[in-house]
Amino acid sequence: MRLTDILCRLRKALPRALAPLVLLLAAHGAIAEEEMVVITNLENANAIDRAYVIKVYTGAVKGWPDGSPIFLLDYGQDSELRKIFYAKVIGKSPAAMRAIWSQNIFTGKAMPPRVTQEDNEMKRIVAGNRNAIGYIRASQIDRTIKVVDR
Amino acid sequence: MPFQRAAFLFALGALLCPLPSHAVDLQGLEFTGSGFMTLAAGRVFGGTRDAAVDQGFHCPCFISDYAQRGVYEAGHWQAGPDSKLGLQGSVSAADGRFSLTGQAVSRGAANGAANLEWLYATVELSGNLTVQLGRKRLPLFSYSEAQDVGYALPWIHLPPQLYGWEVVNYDGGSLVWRDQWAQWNGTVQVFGGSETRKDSGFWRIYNGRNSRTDVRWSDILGTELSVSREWFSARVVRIQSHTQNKLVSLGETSFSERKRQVIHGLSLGAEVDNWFARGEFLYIDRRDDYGKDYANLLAIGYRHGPWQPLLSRAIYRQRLNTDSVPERHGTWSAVLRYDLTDDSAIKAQLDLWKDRTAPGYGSMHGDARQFTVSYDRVF
Repeated sequence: MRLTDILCRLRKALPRALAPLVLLLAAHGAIAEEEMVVITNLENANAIDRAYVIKVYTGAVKGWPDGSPIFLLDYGQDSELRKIFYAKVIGKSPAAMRAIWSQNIFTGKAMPPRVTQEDNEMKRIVAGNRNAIGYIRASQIDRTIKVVDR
Repeated sequence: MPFQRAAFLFALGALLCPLPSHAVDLQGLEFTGSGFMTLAAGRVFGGTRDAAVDQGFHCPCFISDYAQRGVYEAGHWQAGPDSKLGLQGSVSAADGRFSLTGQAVSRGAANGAANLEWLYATVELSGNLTVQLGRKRLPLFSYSEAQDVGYALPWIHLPPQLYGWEVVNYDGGSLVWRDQWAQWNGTVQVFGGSETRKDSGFWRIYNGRNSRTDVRWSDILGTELSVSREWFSARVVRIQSHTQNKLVSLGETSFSERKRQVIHGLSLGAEVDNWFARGEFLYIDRRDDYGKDYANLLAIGYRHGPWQPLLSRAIYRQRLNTDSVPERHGTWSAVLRYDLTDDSAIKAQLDLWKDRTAPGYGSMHGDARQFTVSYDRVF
């Protein structure tokens, strides 16, 4: 086979082979562009700000301002939503967050957050638990939950 | 056999490493498993050898962990003193208000033998108030409770001048109150209990490699206050107890007379942009026994992406009731950490230990220059 034939075949095959990767990168870009919002239960009357959210997600605070315990929700370690939330809202790298939570978990200071898989599951749990807190993409907001920080 | 046991446990750790920490829901209870490991290798590449007393160690040697008898000896690379594998399991009620947690740690310093370091029940009485009962780490110093979790620390081994004491755990209970005052977060912890440590690693270093000393701290009562805001954190602790020793290898069958001690600690931390700094100061009043102990630590570090260089200086000195020669030494440490992934890091640490004890001190350590590398991971 001549070199020109090989190059010709590669030219045809590459776009097909790279298509899933391109789609993945596009999806990642779309998620990265999207706004993240912190959500709570509709019956939860506590008002909290960004500083409070950061304390909650770093384990420094375990209770709501009214004294009731917080039911903390997060996504799995490989979740893009989680990485973007940590970067945009908490202001820390995933590695820094892992170090903080390693201290919390292995020293008895806090139990790890309950892990969910995606926005809909996060919304469902928050809607069903008065003490829950979580976060979703802004495009997923609906009437079942309340946004407390964006 | 001990080496085979250690190799088996670390192989088990390596097998578990690819697994993320995981949780399983079962009839309203959540089971969570997680762990941490440090694979470290180090070598003493210089120093002095004091011939005054032979404690059975091949010196010059570097003490990396007093409590666990972690000692690097001259002449060869060693993997034991800082390597460890910890496995933790928890079961918690669905609402998170009650949980039971156990943590076992296998140490290279103990030839792979595993010890139950934590076993405690937690009850969240409210969002502010937590009760824990069982076996826990004694919060002597700022990093005491995380001392085994290499990934959570900027050092491979914490500066031994400060982080080296005969007892590190206790059986008892603690009450923790968390609150906020304006921009400040505050935590108040009150704890109490007792601890009997058989064959103390700390005392093997002082009494001889083949000695055996049992230690008892009774009537432990402590208070810890921690406050923090955006860039600043501070912690004060006061612990009182009675101490007793029993040198079993000399044929002693009962503990010595109870002596009172009071421990005072102050820690300050600051994080400004990528810079972070920490200061820790310790004063132990053991005038009822031999005198007073002072130790302090100053550290400054910088975070730049995955890189984290750190420089620290730690000093220990004694003031004795008698005319005996007091112990004095200090260590400069330079550490470079690189985060490989979100749950693993490698580090290299250079320590320069300078012994300033006057001639005549019985258990002189001598000087030591030590280089250590590590791979830390949580899973």
